[in-house]
Amino acid sequence: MKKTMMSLLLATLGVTSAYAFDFNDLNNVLKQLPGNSTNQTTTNSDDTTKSNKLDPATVLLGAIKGTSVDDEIQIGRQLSGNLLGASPLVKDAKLQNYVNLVGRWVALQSERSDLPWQFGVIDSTDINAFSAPGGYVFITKGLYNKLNNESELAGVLGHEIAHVVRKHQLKIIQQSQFIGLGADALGREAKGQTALQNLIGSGAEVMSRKLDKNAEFEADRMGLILAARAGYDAYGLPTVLEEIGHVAPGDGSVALLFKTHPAPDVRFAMLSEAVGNRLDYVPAGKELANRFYRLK
Amino acid sequence: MIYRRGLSALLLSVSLLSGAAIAATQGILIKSETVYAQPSSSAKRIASLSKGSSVNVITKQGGWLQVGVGASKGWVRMLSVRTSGAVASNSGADFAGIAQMATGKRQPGKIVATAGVRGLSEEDLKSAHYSERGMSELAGYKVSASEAKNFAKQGKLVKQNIAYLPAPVTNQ
Repeated sequence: MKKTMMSLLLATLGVTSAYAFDFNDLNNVLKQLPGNSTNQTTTNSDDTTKSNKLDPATVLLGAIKGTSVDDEIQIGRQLSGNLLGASPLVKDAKLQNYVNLVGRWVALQSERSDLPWQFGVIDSTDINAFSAPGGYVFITKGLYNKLNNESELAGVLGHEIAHVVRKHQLKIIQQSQFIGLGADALGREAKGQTALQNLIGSGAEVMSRKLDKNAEFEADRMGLILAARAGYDAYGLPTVLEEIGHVAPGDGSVALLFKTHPAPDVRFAMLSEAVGNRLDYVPAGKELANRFYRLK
Repeated sequence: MIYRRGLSALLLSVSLLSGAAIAATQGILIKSETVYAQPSSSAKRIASLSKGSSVNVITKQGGWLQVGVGASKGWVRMLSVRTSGAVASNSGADFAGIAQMATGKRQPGKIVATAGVRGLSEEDLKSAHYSERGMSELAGYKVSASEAKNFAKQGKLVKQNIAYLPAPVTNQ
């Protein structure tokens, strides 16, 4: 069934066998096709041969709607690869290892501790952090350099981990407008690129897409708690927000961050409201300034 | 050349200033608060501050800031005091401006030092192409859950059982 479905889809999209090596990605996406899932509908399975089922936009929308964890990781992998195409990892193995240790420990405190979490510091002077579905988290060197201790790093990574846990970006990808663009690209030309690249597009702009401000406030609240659960001082994240608030709004290094996030003082105030006296009896966490890996 | 010499003189004055600045950062209360004798809400209450009050931040301890108001000192919740953009005096404003010049992109000397390193704009992200090499590098740095647990143990990090915070009820 799956093979039939795929060949029909590929035929519709005008993909030739010359690109057969790309089909693994597509195969993952296709796992969630309506015709491939069990008990999806009460209609006769022969319906899948009808052409209206094979409109690319409809098919891809269906493919993405019920994204499995594997597909989620695959999508995140594509987006992360695109991001690294724009901004490579900092060439410092100790730094990258350190950030992975802190990040993984914080992610272990979340309800998606079993994702294949991967963390990276990217070589950009911009002050920002990104995450992609499936457990990919990135922080720029510009933001890393603003940090003073491990609890602040934990808070920043916690915010990004929360986006992944709550699937904030995945929900954006699932929006029909975005799928429409991917579907158009796939319908127009599928030449030598992976099917997923066509679906996602070659850019990583979705990683910098403005999320609903409530998603950002939620990620702040969760990030603070994830760091606290991990045994860190809970106040690392708000301290970083204060630090970012000291950067002049007109400075280019915060242009993208300020465009896509509520202002740091608003985020700080929202955390203030959310925390209140709720953490008064939580044992003091650690800042671990001594262990913090400092860039030369 | 003359310009450069001027710049290093400026940087020197910044480094001298920053020592003083750490000693007393300006803060503004974003809500009315109780001032406690110790960094704990069960400590003795020694004063109260209304929203918008200016304080000098002396030090931070967990969720608490030790602040000075006039001649007296006490502790208030860290999340009730905003230090960014909380410049009360002219000297503070000068310092903030100079500090930004020293750390920001506009400083000529800095641009030379960071040549080749760039920012990340929306355009960069839009036109980005998949980096297979980048992804294999990234995978090489991945750590296991047990490595992370070990790392936490080395740092004497103790897991806490804390519920997520509900969204605050606001009129925003």
